[in-house]
Amino acid sequence: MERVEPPKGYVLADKQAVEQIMKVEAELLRSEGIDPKWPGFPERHTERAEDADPNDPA
Amino acid sequence: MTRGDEAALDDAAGVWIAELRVVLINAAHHALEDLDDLSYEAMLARIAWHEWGHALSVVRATREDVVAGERLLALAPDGVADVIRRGGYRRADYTHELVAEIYALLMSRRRRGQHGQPRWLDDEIYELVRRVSGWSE
Repeated sequence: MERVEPPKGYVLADKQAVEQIMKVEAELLRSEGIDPKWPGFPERHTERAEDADPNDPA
Repeated sequence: MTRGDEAALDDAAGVWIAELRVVLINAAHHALEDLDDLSYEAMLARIAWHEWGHALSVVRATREDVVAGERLLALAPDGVADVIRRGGYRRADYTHELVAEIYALLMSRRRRGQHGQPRWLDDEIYELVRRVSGWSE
């Protein structure tokens, strides 16, 4: 298999870009009658980087 | 990686590093600040799915797929095409970005118990994503 182009990364220029992405997804889901609210994963364990305790080895 | 490639990564929330075969995610990206917890988790999942779809596309898409990027983008849902165009990508990146976005959306639907081809998705794009990603639903 051939690599055609190098990756450029997922560009999120600003908060408006995030809002736009979430808005587009919500509209597409609603168009099918799907609740756009994120259902989460079975075991949620999300820790924001800025909230992480640097002394916590976990 | 050229300096231009490195500069383009400044605004990236995620990237597939082919040489290391790893997806890197910037969980502290400035654009993710102020999101509520659910939205933050949804965006992290989306970034991961996007980058995985992107990685598959970069390796498996053909030159013909890449050349068709602009035409395929015109077949995409307006909002998806707009997000990609606003991202400042080169035309040669359109196919990979489209596969990545659609793959992320399909995974998001699947997490909500929805399978198969969405009615908002063009047949040609769906078949491309199926071929490139191995999506079998």
